[in-house]
Amino acid sequence: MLRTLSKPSVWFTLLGLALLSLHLWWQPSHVKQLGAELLHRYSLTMSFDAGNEDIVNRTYLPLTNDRQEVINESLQSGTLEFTNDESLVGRQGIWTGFSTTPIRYSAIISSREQKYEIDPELDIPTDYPPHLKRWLEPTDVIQVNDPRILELWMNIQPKERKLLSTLRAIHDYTYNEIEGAPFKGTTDAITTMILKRASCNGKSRLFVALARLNGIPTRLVGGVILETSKKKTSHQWVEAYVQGHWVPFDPLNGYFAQIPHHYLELYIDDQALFSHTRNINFDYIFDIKREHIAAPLLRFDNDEGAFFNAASLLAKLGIENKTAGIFLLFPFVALLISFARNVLGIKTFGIFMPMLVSAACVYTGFWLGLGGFVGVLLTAWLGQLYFDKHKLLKIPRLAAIITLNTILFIGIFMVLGEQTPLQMGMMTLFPVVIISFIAERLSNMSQDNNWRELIITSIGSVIMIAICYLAFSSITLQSFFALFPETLLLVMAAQIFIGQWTGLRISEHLRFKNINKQKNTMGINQRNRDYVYRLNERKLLQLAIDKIETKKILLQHGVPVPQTLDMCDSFRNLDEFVEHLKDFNSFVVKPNRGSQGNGILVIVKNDDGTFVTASGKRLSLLDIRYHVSEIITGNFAQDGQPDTAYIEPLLIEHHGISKIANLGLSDIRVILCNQKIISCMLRVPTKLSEGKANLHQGAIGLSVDIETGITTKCSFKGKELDAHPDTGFDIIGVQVPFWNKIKQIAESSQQAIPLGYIGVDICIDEKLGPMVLEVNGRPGLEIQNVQHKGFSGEMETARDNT
Amino acid sequence: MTTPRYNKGLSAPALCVIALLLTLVLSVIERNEREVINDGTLIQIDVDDSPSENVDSGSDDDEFDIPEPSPEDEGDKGKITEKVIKDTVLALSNIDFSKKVLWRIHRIEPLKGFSESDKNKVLFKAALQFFSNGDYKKTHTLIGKLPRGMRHKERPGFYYALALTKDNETERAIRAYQGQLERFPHHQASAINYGLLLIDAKQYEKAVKAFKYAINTTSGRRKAKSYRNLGKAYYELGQFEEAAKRFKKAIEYQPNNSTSWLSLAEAQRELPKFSQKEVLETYRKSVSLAPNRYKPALKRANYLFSQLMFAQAEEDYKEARKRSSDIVDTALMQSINYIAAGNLERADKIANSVKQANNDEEQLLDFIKALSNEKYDTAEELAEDIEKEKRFDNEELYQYLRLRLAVIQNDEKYLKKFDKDLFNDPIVGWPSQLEYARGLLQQEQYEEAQTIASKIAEKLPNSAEAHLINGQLQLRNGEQVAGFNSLKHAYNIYPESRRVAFIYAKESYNFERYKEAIEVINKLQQHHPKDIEAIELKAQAHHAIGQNDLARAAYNEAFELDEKNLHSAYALAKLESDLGNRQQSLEVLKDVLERDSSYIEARELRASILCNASDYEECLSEAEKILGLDKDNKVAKELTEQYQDKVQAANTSNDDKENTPSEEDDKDDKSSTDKDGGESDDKKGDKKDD
Repeated sequence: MLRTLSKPSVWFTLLGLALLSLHLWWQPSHVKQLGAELLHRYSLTMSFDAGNEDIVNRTYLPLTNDRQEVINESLQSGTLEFTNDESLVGRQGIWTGFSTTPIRYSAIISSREQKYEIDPELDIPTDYPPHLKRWLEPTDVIQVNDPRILELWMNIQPKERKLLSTLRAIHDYTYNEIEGAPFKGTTDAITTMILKRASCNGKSRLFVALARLNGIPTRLVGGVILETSKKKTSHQWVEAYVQGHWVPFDPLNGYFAQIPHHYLELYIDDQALFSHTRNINFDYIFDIKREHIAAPLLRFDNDEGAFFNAASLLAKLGIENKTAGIFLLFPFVALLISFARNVLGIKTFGIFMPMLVSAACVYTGFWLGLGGFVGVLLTAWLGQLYFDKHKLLKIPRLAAIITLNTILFIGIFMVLGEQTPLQMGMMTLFPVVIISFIAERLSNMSQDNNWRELIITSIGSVIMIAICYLAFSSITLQSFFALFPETLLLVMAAQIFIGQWTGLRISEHLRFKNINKQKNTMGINQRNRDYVYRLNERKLLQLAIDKIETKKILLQHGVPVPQTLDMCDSFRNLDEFVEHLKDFNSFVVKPNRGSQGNGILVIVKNDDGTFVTASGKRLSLLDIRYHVSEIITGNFAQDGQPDTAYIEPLLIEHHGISKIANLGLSDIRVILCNQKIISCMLRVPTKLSEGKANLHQGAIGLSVDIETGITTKCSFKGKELDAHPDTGFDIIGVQVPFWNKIKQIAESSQQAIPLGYIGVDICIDEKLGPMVLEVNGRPGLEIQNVQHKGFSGEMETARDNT
Repeated sequence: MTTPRYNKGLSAPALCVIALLLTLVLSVIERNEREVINDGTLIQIDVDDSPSENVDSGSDDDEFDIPEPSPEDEGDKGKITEKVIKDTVLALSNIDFSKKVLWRIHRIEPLKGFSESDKNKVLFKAALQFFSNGDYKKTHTLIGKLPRGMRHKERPGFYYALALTKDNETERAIRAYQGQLERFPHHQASAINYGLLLIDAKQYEKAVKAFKYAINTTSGRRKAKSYRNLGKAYYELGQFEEAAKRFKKAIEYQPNNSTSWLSLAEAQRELPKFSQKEVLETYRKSVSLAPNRYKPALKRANYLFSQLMFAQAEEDYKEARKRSSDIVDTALMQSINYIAAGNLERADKIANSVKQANNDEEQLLDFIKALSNEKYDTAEELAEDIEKEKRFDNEELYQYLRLRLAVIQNDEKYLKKFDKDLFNDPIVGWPSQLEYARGLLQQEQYEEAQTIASKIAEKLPNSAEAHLINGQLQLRNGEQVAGFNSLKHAYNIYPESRRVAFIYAKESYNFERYKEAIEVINKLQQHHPKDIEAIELKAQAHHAIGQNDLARAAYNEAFELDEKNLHSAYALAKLESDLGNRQQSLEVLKDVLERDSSYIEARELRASILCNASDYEECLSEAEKILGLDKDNKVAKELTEQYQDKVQAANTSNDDKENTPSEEDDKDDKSSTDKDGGESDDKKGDKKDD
């Protein structure tokens, strides 16, 4: 029991949990700090056209008080000189000088609701401290002493003259009886009373006039209603002095002794929000966005436990809180991706691409981000198609695609203009280079007509982008990882666990659904961890990829292999190599480190310098030269590195097999583990597979009995068949020729190349008999489906016997 | 084949289920958090919450808040009578219940027949009774015994915490308040008391948090109180800017609270952006708002004292004394201020008026008395006694006075080893620097003194004393123009000060700026018409520029102001003799000698005048008289030697003549009382001069 628990993942879990509980014990208040905070991004843009004159421009800027807080301010004043004039009525920003660029002020505002409960027994005081006298005086637009105001009051006054009932009566009248109307400009109290229609400022003035008439010090307050919008409207409401408090009232929206959380207060008293030099074509716009931000990303300055807050450390480096949140979630999202790939088996373009794309999406919003991603991908793909037609080499082609994407971005900026500069700016964060690589894979898939795979991968990518996006924008996770960074140890433990986990993936449950009941299926995780990593040396795996070298070694051990006629590893001897081809009537051009039969060119006939392929296509020498140069560049190599092209003589299928399949060279895949043959199958090309003996591309897999060498079952694209789908030949019960020799060859191949777990591909030539085509250090698992039998148990026995 | 056993541990679906569960939990939490709108606050404005704008408690410290009991459990008054409670209190007083469990306490006699919950109610009321009797230990022990349901109610919880506070169980009280606030987040009194407790416990950072919280929940007077104490916590943390902001806020909510104004002033004086004038104005506001409290006046006076504005400080000390006749602090500072201003008489008077001083204060007062009576030896003895003390209250004040003593005594040794840490003291810092500079001035270490003085003058541009010493030192260092500018500046700041004006005049005289000196003295006379020293200086100045009759008039004026002041008369005589008006000179001298026959200098002058007038006999008899008073008088001896022989040569009818002058003297005396003769002499003198 103890031994089974002594694993790195367990240790990390224990360490993480210990630290976490220590943290919780020491700083229990941190749990309360987790959570979201509703914030408003408030920005004000003021533009003007000053000609050549100096201008003066003033406006009120938000300031921090009891119920609102200005968290992060920034200001772009251009060449204007900015001064900050803080007084009792508010904080006025003053810009002077000459400039042509607009002024942009932005701030993050945190504000909250405030309610007052006024005791109904409270009387209206008769005397006030001198500094309040000002708020009882009449003004030009608040005509307290006008007889009409008094008359109005006589009509609406409550029975009992208490403070609360008086305010209630004034509020009810101004809220209910005066119709709200979007008037522009200033409306005074009398006009409001007569018209019975007014905007916020008229209503507020009437309120103030009535309150002052009753000896309640009252003042106007100006500000902005915070809601996600772009607008030019500001708002005005009223504050009445009650026992040391300035109690807010809004007669337009009906807030009585209450100020809702989204009111931003800017200034006090009856005055203009903006004042500026005349005739400068002044214009302004408020741009307000409401969003939730994880509180620990913002609130660390006044907190005891700031030491623990990872976000505070990032903030010290000047990283913006949103970026900090993403940064802190990278490990977690990486865990999600490894879970999706290794446990679920979801396929995506590129491994961590969804993570990067979704991170960019956090800035732009999900749909815009996804749209941008698809746009970039499409451009890249179209570019790929176009450049492919002109036969560009790989790296310059990628460079050209990157250029194309950059042009696309510039074009978008030009069209969108200034509207959403920030969002589009963040789009450039898109990993353009990575996307360009993806476009390459995309075009390969589409060229191979592998549409099913393409669609599955695309859907997988979009799903993963969405999941990563959800994780990145989760406030809970952001605040949790910021305040409890030791949780990263748990994430690490989970990652290690997944790394050591060798169960069947969900996708494999579907793939091997027919044989799964035997509980003997081997999955990719298990293959990689328990066999490839354990039995197969890295060096030998590299060797297995290099076909020319493999053939040399096999030949030394007396294993028959096809002859290598010629090879070419650089452009220097390309011409010579191509020239040499003229001498052969039929041959096969192969990339040395290719995979899945890609890049193999089969020439069946040399028609006076025109070469005819297996599918009947006619190629000139120049076409072949291009193909070879592509091989040399590394286009077909597994790792994309420069490669070697070589030619082999065209092998002729043995009649024992060609009687069931004549569409291309079939081969026999033998899987061995520690000198024991585990499984084998015969792969027969079809029309669908275009002559290639590759199950992915649509070849038939025929399971072969190990003892006798007789075909037993046929599997074609997951279905069982009795006859060849193209030719209709009976394919069950066929005896594979040279069977004992084949088994012997397979075993001696493993002796020659001591990979513990190996797949040997053998074909049978009419004249030369069985020959090894290649060996594979990571043979696929589809053979289990062909055999209708898992081989996990057999593999384990074979592995543990030696 | 053996049974395959490849699928060890968790399978993929199981992992997926786990992942799904985690996601579900996460999304539930997420959903809840997304719905959060920042918490609103509710503020209740009640009738009884009216700010007490006119009444001031009289105490400077904010007291713990005890709200009026609300009539919450009136319903069960029928059963729980006052008598039951009284009996319970009595029964509980007689037993030590601290170690008894609750059900044992429930068994006491008066509680019999009540239900469980009523018993607890009675016990709580009994606890309240203990509280009002001041037995806080019993209060919290008893409430602590109550069951949780009762103990965690609003009032029991509050009184439990308050009793712990008053019983100095700080740690437990803090925890009790925290619990109380968690249960009743809007209990205003708890929020405030919690903060006050933290301030008392010197946990200022926590106090800041507590009061920030209190601000959000309190209203009216309590809100002002919260702001004020938040400011106080910031002040203690040294964040004066923040503190000043909060005090202003407190004033906004309760403009008539003098404590807030006082605290604001204290914070402002720490901030360089507030000018002296603003600070003083804030202090003034605090003083005027609380007509019965001495602290504001005392603090203002201390501030003025620390800024070297001794004269203005006098006024405030007087005010503070008026408000607090018996408080030693005030008297102590007042007398020290008088000493600093040089008004020794007053200092002595104040020091003598103090009653009920404690030991250390008594010693300090004795020291002050010794200084003000100019008994410097006694003072030094006292200083030795004080220095023997291990701990001495008002150490800084003593240090300052000791420094002053050293300066008066010109004690070079003491000044050399003087501990300059005192310069940083908030009250006596600048005054001691001033004294130190004076000491250096006396010892002619002008350059070092200059650096100190110029620093003082720069930092305290409104202090006349600062500019005065600076100017004096500048003059010593040869910077005549700058020096006189400083002096003039000092004079302009405080033209009423006799000291400033006189030193200015004197320095002007010393540097031969006679006219300036005269001008200054003329103005000085408007404020201090009886300043003889100044008038004499003026006379000297007049004399120096040859305005002899003005000089004469000045001497006369000086003499007339104080008949006992013979020095002026002597100076007048000397002036006359210098001018060659022997007769007038002799008349004056005669007058002088009649008043004080032992005035040797006057006799010397008379003798030399007589000898010069060839009246040798008179001259020699005068010399003899001088030698009778002072055996070793050189002037007399010289005169005797010089004129001895001449007397003998002309010694023909000495006996007759010896008596006549005395008669003539009498006659002269009579004539000199006749003022016309004197004046006509003056006129003649004028004509001669012209």
